[in-house]
Amino acid sequence: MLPHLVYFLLLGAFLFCVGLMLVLTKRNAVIMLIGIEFMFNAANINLVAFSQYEPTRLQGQVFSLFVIVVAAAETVVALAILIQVYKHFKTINLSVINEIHKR
Amino acid sequence: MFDEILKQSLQESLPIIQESIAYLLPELILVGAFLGIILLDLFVKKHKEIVFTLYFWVALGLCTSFLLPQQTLQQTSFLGTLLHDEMAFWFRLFLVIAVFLTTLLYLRSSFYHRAPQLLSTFYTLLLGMLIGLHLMVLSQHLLLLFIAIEVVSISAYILATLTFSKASTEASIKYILFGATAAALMLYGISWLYGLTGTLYFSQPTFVATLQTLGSPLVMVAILLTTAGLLFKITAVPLHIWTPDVYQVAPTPIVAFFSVAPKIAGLAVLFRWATAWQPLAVSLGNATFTFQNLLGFVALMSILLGNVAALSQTNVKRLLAYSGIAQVGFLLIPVVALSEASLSILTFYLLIYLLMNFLAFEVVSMVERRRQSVTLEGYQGLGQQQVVLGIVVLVAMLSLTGLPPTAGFTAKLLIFSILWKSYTLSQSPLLLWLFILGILNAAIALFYYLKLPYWMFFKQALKPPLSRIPWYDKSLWLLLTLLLLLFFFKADWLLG
Repeated sequence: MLPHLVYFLLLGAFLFCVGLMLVLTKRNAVIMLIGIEFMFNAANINLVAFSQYEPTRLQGQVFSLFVIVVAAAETVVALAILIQVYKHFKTINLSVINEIHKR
Repeated sequence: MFDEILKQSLQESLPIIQESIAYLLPELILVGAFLGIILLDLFVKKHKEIVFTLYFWVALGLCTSFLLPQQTLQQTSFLGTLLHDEMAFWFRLFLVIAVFLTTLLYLRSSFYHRAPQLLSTFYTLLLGMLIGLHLMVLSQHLLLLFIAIEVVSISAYILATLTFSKASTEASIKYILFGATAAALMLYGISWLYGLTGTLYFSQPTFVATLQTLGSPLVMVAILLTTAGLLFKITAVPLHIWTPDVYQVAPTPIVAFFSVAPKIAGLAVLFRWATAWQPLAVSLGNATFTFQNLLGFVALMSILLGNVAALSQTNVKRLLAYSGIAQVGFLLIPVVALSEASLSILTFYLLIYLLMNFLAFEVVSMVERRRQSVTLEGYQGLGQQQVVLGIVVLVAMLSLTGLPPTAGFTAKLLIFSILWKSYTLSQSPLLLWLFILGILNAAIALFYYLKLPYWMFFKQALKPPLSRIPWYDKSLWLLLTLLLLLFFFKADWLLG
């Protein structure tokens, strides 16, 4: 194993856990989106760190570039929907937004 | 030094990429149509319905005409990232059929008549989703697979909230937060699989061999996380939570498409994984983890939870959502009980599922438009007023339950026979449980599926009676119904 790989993986795992915690415990939609972003970037750190074993193909680094673009697209759509949610409900707290079951 | 290697590998791979383009023509046509429809939207101001629908159907027809010669193709392309085989051919054909049926459903739905200005947006997103689904079926590479799934997901998030009504935004924000989390889990899993194996080609023998030699619990965690993203797409337990809400409030044609198309593509990927990863077995103490066991457990939970939750539903779209969760459990069985016959049985079940699900949603959409109701009360006495409608619903529901004389019965029979065969070979208790509970649940399913025909035939008819149903609606229903009956008697036409 090359030196320092384990530090990157630990950082990735830490970020992933923080992101998952945010998604599971918070009910504010924006905070949840931030948590999801943490999880995406945890994977990015892993991908880039592992990519050093393939110095000529760099599949991991290329992968992480794609992930950044995809994550941005996903966040844009999520925020657009969130604005509509705010227009209708005047809140972005998901525990308050619960009307489908009542119908 | 680095530049030299890069240059050399580029020189080697460029001709392969150029040759590969010919295999990708059906998808390239869809991409072209996707761009074209956005441009068309800027210029066409009159007769939008005819222009866009014709354009869309021509694009689908062209795609199919380039797809058909690929039936016997067995070829990898684009440096091994795509695989064209018989499964890819059939599944992509089903996807095109599903999209075509969706447009038929859409043009007569209350969704279209309430918001006709969304026509071009709807077609654009549908095309985007179809491109992603096609790539999912073809892909052999985790990066491509991830992008394909995200293309499907992002189109789906927008489709689910197209009307921006209060309820649909609520369902959609839950859908996207849940979906993005599932995607992030999958991505983290993929990053570990890449790190452990050093490759992103999941079908390569070295991929599974490396995982096997490692044999650590980490492999299991990575596979679990990676599978999560797909389970979300095919609405399998435990990642099904978004399904009922989205199905209840999203426009009916979109729900019909969601309930079939992502399952086709997702099951294609799971089937590829299962065949590639079959040798993998990670021992944990006294238990062994295999990919099949994982899917078997998911199938069991989906069948149980879907059926039990469907029993108490009165909203028909919600009922069909839970029914879809249960059906996914059955659809997973050929992948769990992997053998030579699995693929043809899975293909058969998927085609039947496509037909019967669209038939059910055609009726739901019609009643929604005429009676403004998606609850069981709206169906009261409809079977007495419109006998054809009653028979159509009865056949669709019998087929979904899996009773003769419908193709749904043949599909369930095939699935349970392959499961039993696999159990006698492996003696795995999980398969036995799956078999027993699967049959038990086919009986439970009877209660909620037959609720609909019961309300239609045995309840007092509502006033005013339903106006006449146009001939094209009836002929489409009858066509689907006849196909469901035909494949019961002539199942060997498809299984060959």
